[in-house]
Amino acid sequence: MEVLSTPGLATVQDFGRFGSLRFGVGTAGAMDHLALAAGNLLLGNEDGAAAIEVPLFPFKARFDADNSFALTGGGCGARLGGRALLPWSVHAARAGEELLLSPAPGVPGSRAYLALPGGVDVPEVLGSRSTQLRGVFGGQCGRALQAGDKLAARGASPGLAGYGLEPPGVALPLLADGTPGVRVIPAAEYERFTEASRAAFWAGEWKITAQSDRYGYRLAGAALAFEAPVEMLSHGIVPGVIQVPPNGQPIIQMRDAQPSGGYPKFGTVIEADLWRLAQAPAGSRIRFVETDWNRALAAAEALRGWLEEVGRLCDLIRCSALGRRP
Amino acid sequence: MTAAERVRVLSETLEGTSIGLLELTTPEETIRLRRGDTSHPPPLAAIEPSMRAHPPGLVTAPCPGVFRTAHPAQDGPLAQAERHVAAGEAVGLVQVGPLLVHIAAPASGVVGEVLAENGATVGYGTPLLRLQEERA
Amino acid sequence: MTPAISLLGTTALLFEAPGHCELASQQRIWALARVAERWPEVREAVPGMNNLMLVFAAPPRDLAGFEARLRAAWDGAEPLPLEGRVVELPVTYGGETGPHLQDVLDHTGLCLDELVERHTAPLYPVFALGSHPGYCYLGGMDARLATPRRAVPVLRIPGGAVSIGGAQTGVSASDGPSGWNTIGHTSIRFFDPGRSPPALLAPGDSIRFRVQAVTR
Repeated sequence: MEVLSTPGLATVQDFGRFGSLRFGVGTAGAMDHLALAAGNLLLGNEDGAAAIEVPLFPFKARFDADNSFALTGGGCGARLGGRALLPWSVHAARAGEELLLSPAPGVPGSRAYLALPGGVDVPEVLGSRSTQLRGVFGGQCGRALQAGDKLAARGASPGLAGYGLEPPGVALPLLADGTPGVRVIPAAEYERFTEASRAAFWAGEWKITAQSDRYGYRLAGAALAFEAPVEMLSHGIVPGVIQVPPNGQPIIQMRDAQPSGGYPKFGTVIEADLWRLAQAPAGSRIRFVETDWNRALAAAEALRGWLEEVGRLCDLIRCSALGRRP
Repeated sequence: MTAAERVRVLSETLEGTSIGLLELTTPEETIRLRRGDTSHPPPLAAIEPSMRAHPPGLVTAPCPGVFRTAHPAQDGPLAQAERHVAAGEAVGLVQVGPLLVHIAAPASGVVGEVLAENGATVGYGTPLLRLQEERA
Repeated sequence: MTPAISLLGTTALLFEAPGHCELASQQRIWALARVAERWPEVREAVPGMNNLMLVFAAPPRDLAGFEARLRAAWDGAEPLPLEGRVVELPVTYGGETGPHLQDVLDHTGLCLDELVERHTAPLYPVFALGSHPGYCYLGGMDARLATPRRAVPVLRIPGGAVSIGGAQTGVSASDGPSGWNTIGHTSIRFFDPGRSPPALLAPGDSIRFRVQAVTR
């Protein structure tokens, strides 16, 4: 597959790079793990195969051979050789056909994932194929994709097409008073914010500002105030941690976040809800829902359950002739 | 894979899904699996390939499930009278648990009468809509 | 005083040792990391400054039991004396490559010469790596140099930037955002993903800054 045009920031990502935090290497990885996992299940790929994450449109690519691919995530419309494509589905491309992902304001989500049979074939670096933008390694030469980049699939085309999934945003909705919600476990410095700020954090709506990317989401809302100035020692952090710099406007760490930080932490968006955040567009509003350890584990269990059922049904459809195009 | 092996694989696959009944038809054989647990809700779906011919212009369900006239993540219906579609584009969906099986237009054309209602439970071969094919 | 244990969602847990960040305490953190990284629930044990993050391979069902095991391991942790190598870094202080030098002088009330002298005097032990690939958190900074992190993080500072954040100093290993105050610049390659280990320095190594130039 050859990238024909992209406005930038499209990267190769798998679930991320684990085990190198102690060298200062953040995990990176797909912003929306659920969309990545679903794309791989649709194609029968192994868990954690690398796909292309596309956050900006239009993105145009050409298939140089007949191949199946899965399109998951959201935020765009899709056409292949002039045919409209359904989202969250497996499609079959003929050699020479062009895939166009174009802006579609009415479509929910903000990032699309393009999965190929066997995953995208880029070298594994420190145990992962994810692009480490800060370290300039992994993925396609450690950088975002550019026009002219050629990406191969690691597996042979299974010749599948014609089925997809109900998007998880529909199957697993989470709304707080009608606004998209994410669940948060309070973190170490929670009690050091004023009581009024703590109440406002849970009660208010937070706008995801335009200064939001794979590193972090900068939010705008009622400024959070500390009881007293807090100066901290550097410590490990993970994607989802909500840091509050002295200006009181929270920053949620995302997949390209540094593996350590020193701003006070209000809480952490649970891993099971990071995919919701990944698909919340800049300019949209979210709300935070307080949760705890056991309920967060149950949320992770619910996701696992959804993926397991998806996996079984995808296996089933590949067993039947239904998913096979003549 | 022998028939016995296929039955074993399918049984394992069925385990843990919301599907209570599975019917798989291939050119060689038809396999029917049903859960032992009779208290299980009625089968959401069984899956079998579209092997039988039907009248030209009539689009039928490729498998049992719930007919969807629109995709949940897209504006505008797929199955709507007078909608123009290119060959291969979806004119509707059959939902089987979390799966959405595409109903692809066999040729370019215009959607005519939509025969099944959105949300209707359909069986294999249930007429869904008519498609007026355009001559190439 | 007892250690503080807090959650980072269900992904990780943060253990913060009591007291100040000193080498002896940090050596116990290194020892605790060696113990905890062998536990089946733990994917990686990541030392910070007087703290340890444990990233879960699988979140423990019995969180209270896990925390109790961690506290017991800390109580039993003897300082692990790691003796590494010393790396000397020539630094250009101030000018275009030290844009926040004046802020540090204003905050500390020191004059430029005093600041440079106090910054180049110590041998800085590498306490931990973090922030970005190859970046070292150093102990040993003169407390008089302490300057709060910036109210709004800077979106891009260059690799080689020598900076102060709170009671710590460090050198950026590559271009990127930072909330620290940049006072100077040095040139060295801290990280190579093709090398094993990929980072130039490890906990137990030390850095010394040498004056190359001072731009007034």
